[in-house]
Amino acid sequence: MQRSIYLLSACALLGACATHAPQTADEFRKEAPGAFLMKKETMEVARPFRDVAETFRKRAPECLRVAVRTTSSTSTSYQVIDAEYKPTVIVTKERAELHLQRKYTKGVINVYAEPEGGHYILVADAYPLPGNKTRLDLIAPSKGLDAVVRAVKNWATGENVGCPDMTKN
Amino acid sequence: MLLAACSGTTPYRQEGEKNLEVRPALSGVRASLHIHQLDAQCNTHYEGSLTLDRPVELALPTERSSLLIVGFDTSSFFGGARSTARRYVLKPRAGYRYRLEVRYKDDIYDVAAVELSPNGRARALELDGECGAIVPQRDR
Repeated sequence: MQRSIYLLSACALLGACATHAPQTADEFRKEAPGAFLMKKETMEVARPFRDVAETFRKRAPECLRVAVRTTSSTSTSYQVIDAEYKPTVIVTKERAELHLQRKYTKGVINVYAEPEGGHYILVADAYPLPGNKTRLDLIAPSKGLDAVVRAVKNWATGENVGCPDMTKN
Repeated sequence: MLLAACSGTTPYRQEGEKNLEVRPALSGVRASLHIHQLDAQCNTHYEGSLTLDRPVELALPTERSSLLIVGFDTSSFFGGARSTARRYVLKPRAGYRYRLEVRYKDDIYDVAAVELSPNGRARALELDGECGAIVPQRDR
């Protein structure tokens, strides 16, 4: 059900972008926030920027670089969908970026041109603030990636460095 | 492929002093631990499994790498079959004890490892999932 909602929203996002799917994280930042079933959240965490960046750097590859196979069978159909997730973390003095891409390698037809590594589904940007605080901007679907969104927020706050269960996407 | 090898699970039994304690804290999920022997060429040999429905203590061979796979099963009638697994390589040192805290709540999971020295000093371990060395993190 969650996957169906996300696929629907992905289609809607793509529809909202006319004939174009974001090909870079920058394009995703510009185009996704206003799209249907997408949201942008901003939060401030009482944690130094370098610690947030370090947590992103450590946890994103470990937790998000996974492949998920979904098998659905009914009395009249059988379907296998394979998805590969690709996290990217880029850290500079000004910003720590976390991108998440998803590429369907089986069971899904891509309508629009897909960037290398798959469609962008989440971008989180952390910025240093005075007083050892950090601002987090997070762009993601409003439904369908709940566990990932919560995990990324937890990594920013440092309260919980656990991994999201990617089978729940 | 490893999980497929574990589909026909056998209870893990190992003689010797118990040096690994696994403490599960789970909500809405079933978890299990699968133990494999790991040789220098990173070949695995399945040795057995344990259900993590309560704290367990087991004996792992010392000075030899073991591949530990923690599996979380969130299958349900409406959700279908779902499972996810994480793998960790652990090479216990003689005389040391180890503790794994396995947590799963609200679709987020974590496995934290601690090494306890013979004099009771604790070190957090950052376990690698590949054939690699254990890295002691910090004193507690």
